[in-house]
Amino acid sequence: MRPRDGSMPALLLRAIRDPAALRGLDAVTWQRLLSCARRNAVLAYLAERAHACGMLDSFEERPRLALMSARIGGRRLTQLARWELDQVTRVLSAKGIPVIALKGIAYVLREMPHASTRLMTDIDVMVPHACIAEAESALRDAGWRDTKLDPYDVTYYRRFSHEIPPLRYPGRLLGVDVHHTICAPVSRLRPDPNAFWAAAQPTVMPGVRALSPPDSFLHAAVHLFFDSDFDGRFRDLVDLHEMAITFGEDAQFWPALVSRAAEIGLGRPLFYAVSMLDSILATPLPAGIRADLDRFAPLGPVRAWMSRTLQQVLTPIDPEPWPPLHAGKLWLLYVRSHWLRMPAHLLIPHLVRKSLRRAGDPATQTQ
Amino acid sequence: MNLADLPAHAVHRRLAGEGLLLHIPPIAVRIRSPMRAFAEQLRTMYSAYEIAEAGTFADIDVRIIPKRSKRLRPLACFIVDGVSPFDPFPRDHALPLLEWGVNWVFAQRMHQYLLLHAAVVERDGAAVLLPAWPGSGKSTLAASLACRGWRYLSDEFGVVVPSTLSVLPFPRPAALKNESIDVMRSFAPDAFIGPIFPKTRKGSVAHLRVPSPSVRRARDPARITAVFFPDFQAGAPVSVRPLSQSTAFLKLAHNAFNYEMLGETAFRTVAAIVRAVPCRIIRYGDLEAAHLQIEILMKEPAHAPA
Repeated sequence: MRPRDGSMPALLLRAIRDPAALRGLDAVTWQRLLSCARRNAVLAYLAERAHACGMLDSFEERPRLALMSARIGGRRLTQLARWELDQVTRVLSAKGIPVIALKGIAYVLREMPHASTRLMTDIDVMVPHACIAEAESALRDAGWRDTKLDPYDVTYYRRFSHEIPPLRYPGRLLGVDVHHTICAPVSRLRPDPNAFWAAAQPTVMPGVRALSPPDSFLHAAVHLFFDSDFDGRFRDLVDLHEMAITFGEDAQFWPALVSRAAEIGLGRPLFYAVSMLDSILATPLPAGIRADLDRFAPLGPVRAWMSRTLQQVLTPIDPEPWPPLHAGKLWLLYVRSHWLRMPAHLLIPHLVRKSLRRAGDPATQTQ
Repeated sequence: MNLADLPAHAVHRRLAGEGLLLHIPPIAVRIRSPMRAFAEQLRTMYSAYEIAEAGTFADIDVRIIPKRSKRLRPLACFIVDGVSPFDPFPRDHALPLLEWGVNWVFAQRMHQYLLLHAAVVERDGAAVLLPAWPGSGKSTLAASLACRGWRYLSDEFGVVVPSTLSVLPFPRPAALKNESIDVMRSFAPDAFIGPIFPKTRKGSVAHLRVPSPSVRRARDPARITAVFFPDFQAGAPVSVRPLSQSTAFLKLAHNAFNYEMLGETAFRTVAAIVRAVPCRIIRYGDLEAAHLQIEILMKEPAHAPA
């Protein structure tokens, strides 16, 4: 389902594709657009796009101040993320543990144009599976501590997750997620982490590597389509969009991406990523890529349902309706993502437990 | 047109419909809520504020929505940009919820200003920052000065234009807590204090309505000429302790809302303040004595507005 013409999600998409759509907006449209951008965590991104086109200074005072303020916030988070990574790397390097930067902080190290616009709450790093215990104790010895988690969540992380429970240095804004593999170890997708390590590349920060461009793209695709929280994932689609544009400047990128996906068994998430980029953001893609990826598509009815559902939940959310729309779809995708991550005998007790906890929590919002 | 010019039923109708747009300089706030009791409270506390014309850009657009807890307790929920960023309040605490919520959004979003955590008052062009931690008496001191002819700029935010000594008013009802409510009632029997909201997360809270002359001048910036860190201690005689520039810098920077966010800009702005104006701790146990002391200090030539 495409956003209605004239709706704020539709305008936001147009403005991201071409900031010229921001020209001549009236005050009320500006306000609703900025609200929509905030809801979808892309206000700073929108500001950066407008700035890159040299348009920011031409806007009315109020929207301009709001956009500039969002850029200040984004830049500060980027600075903090770099600093946190430096602190983490010092500790891990001293133990001889190699580090791969993932997701947001990796975009920062690559100096991608959208990197300074992402709202981060943590940085993600990966260490070899064999080093995870040593990495965790080294960080704890250096002062990092658990964030507030209930015992069940801790167990979940320990048994079923591709990362250890999040750590945070007391008093700092950003936490650290230490991954030891790409997908959950009990997941139906199990790409070989050694393949990712073998292709990783050096970055501007000594001692820190980043995934190769195809692997970065595939990693983001896996997390976008197989993670459980489908609320507000438009921001993650923007990551893929920016990677498609930046990495796509190299003519080798797309062929390498397709063959890499086939090689490590991530064709399905790549199929979803490319079809959603095409249908939602109209990302510039090489001719014939969608037909080429068709071989990774699921069977007819699943394909149709997934395509409709993903389109709905990855399109920018309209902040206006209250209570929010498509709560039911989010729940189905939540269940589905767990289905992919965990076998049924683990999954059902987990979901029952989560539901009971939700029902018992008076502060929980409609999801 | 001011909010007081709109009859109560019309205020409720606007809140429940297209929303009520109020100028609360330096911003405009759009408020929506179907709750009649909230409309009454809002109209009382914000009577002197100007209603913005339709089509005005609202810097903050919020909704106060009724809902029920799982145990059917009536609650009020604060919604901004389609999310509810914190736990709901009891339904009859809708006004404190609006105040708390708007402060929260303002602190999150207004990085075009350095936001010090301070009450601000002004007289004869000389603005005084009263920065402090919660519980140190800044709201009460600012409210009491506002009742004695000072212009009230804020009880929570020192909104400083970066790289200047210029502070913008952001006048909102002053949140008086616990004993301060009775202290203010006896200090200024004519002042308008709204209903008491018991058992908030800060204890009992009641709001002093901003005196209308201060609302009328809410678009006029003022120049910072002194920084007094209030330190209320029950029964303490009044005493004044000057602070070194470096100590004052740390105290101001450390409790600002967005010092880290602004980085170098914040550093330069705070440095400019502590270099330009005297910074002192005022310990007091009695409002009258504190006022007298502030009067004396403000007569010193160092405080003359430029």
